[in-house]
Amino acid sequence: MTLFLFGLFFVLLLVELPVAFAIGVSSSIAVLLSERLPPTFIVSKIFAGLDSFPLMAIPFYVLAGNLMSEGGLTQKIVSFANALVGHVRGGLAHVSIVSAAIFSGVSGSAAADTAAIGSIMIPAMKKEGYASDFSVCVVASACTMGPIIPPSILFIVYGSLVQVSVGQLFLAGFLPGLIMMVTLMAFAAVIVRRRGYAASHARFLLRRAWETLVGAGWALLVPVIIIGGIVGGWFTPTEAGVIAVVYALLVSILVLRTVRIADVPRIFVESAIMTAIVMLILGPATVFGSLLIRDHFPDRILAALGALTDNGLVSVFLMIAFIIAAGFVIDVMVLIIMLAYPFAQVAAHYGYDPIHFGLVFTLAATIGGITPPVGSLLFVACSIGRIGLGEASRAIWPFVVALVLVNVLLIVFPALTTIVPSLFFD
Amino acid sequence: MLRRFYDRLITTLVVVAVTVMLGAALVGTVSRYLTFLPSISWGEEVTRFAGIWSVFLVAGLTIRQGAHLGVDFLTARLPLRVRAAARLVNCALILGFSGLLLWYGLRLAAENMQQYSPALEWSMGAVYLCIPIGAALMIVESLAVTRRLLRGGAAAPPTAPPMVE
Repeated sequence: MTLFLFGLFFVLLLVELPVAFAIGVSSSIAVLLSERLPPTFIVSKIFAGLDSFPLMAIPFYVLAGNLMSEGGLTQKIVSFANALVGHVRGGLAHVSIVSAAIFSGVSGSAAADTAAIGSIMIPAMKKEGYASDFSVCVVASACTMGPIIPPSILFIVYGSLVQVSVGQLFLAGFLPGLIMMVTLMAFAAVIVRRRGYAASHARFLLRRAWETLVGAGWALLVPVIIIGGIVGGWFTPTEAGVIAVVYALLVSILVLRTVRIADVPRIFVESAIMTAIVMLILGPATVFGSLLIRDHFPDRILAALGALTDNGLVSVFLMIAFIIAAGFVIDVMVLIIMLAYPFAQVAAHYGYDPIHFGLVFTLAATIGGITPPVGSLLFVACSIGRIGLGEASRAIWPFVVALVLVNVLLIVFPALTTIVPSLFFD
Repeated sequence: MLRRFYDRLITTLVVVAVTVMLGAALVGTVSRYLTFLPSISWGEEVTRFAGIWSVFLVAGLTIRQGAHLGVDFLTARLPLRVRAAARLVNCALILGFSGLLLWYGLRLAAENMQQYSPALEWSMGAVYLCIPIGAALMIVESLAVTRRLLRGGAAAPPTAPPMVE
């Protein structure tokens, strides 16, 4: 059954059937062929998979992020980042990375981050004489912080599939996100030095930093509300998402006056479409997943790993290596939806902390977003930079290496992920 | 004329569903803190149902816009005619899957008309109707894509980049 499901799924994927339908068609055929399951199992599982209050955080974070970028807050975040790190050699590369880190705290979606930051930073870098492929790759790799720095749609999906606290995952992502930022900046610093890119302005001015901080203040309050609300125990992540939407509506319509009320229905529909793309994969994936569980898929992975090693750490390394390798041809969301539950079962068998494994797993899957030939973040950045994926495939390597290093670091030192949540949760 | 009415109707329903979802979640959250408001038990339930309805109400639009996440690293290397043929096969598969959702979605709804949701005691059968409705919208839009493919060869919109991750 497992082999049939995965085999059919991959064949359908290769003929360019959208992922949602490749999952839906392959699992439907399996259900129809089985004698024990009624065909209504397909429909009722799809509904049950979506019928979850934690999952409803996805539309809220998508909507809040869209309202913020429509409201022109991306430019303000970029100006603030520029005031902070623009004076360093190769300033704009660092500005891209810092802006992406800040924007990750506002939005839940890495691809939306790439579109927002990329459409400002990639043209700006090209204008200053940075190579197109480097500009595209800096932005794409920086936006992998999106799913790690809270809020994060991938953590919402992971949390609901594996039954772990989304709030704890959010907090656990904080420190790893900062480590990613520092590591990416270090790797970028070496490259800009070799290529001789200049700073974007002469020196750091406290006044400029303060003025741009005030300008970006409305955006910077979003992560404060979300994280503060969750840490303080006032809101669940879904409730924090609603508050973020209401805040974004008020700020962009009443305070900044950059969004008109007449724009709101259009933004609602666009956000609903972006949400539906995820949900229409998640629904059928619930059918797929339950078929795998009926076929004892986690036990099979465990048996396969057991044949190679009996060491928990080595098993986790093998699983993560598998995810990163699969990430070259499968995209982030699909990896999480198909493999999060079975892999987390295996990790739990070896006594791994579920939050720690969630972080490590999600980062590994996210790296799949920038590895060619199939990587949605690299794809979005390339289309903004007007270069082909092939041109970007060389310049992306240093950043892939940087992120894999961070991933290894997180596997070896669990405290990096668990220390922040342990301060706030028992 | 009919098409404009259809588009208007769909977008209006989507905006209503999103607004209800937001409103219910907001009231549910706020009423826990403003104790002078009557406490409500239905906030989460309405949020979930409206959220799921909004997903299926835009399901047709996701197909029209080619917004679904797909993988083209093999098909991009194929001759245009072969690629167009693959697209037609995909349309047939999407139609088949949507047809299945429509048929068994109606069956599921019919079987559960007498089941009631815990908080609001709404008929679950009625709530499940979002699936056959979404399936019907997907069928309408995939038929339009198929017609465009048959007329203009490979003129269908390319798979757009996924926007949420």
